[in-house]
Amino acid sequence: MSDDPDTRERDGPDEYDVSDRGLVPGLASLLLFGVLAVTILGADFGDPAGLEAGEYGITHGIGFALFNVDLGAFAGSTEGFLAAFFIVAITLDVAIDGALYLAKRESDGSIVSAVGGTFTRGRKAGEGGD
Amino acid sequence: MVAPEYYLLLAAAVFCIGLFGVLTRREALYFLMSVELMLNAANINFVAFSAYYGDLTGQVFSLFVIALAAAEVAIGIGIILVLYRNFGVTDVTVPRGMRW
Repeated sequence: MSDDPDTRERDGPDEYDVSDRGLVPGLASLLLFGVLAVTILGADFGDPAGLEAGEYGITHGIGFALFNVDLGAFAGSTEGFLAAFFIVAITLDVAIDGALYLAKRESDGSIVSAVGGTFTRGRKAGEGGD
Repeated sequence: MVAPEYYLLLAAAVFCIGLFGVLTRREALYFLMSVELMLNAANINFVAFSAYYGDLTGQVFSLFVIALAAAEVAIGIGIILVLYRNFGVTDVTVPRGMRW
């Protein structure tokens, strides 16, 4: 390592350099891909049925399935997902509320933290300056 | 019709790239991107088998996965904001406890 203070920082490990810790995960990922590839290429998937557009088309069919509408030409190829649709809608609502709560700032610039206290410049409100 | 093996190999490759990212990256945003890759690998499988077997359920499921991925990213970005405010970094290995 160089003693020059201007270059000393650069001699250390780069925070974003993954070469020193990417070997084992890389090999594990490649091994997993190999196992998956062997399994996929050796599998028998049966005869293809193919999607038929039917009377309304595939996009309409997805919409019918989402809202439990009479499935028409797709009656035998899918099912209703209205309950799942509502659950996902509520989940998205909760997620956006949670994101807003986590990101919220008061008008004076202080931060309403996730644990209930109010932080100002990294220090909890009411705490002493020292 | 394209054989399903090609879609499955593509999905496996995308999944393994995402897994590699999760295992090696320390930045929270890269983490989220890698998880998205893994979720989209599942989506490729859903749509490929939906087209192969003529069943729309897989395509509807992929829409749900996309919606849940959006919810996950919304919460993830909020957590990254809190992480940055409290630790000054977005490195997921810095915080060691559940409270500060």
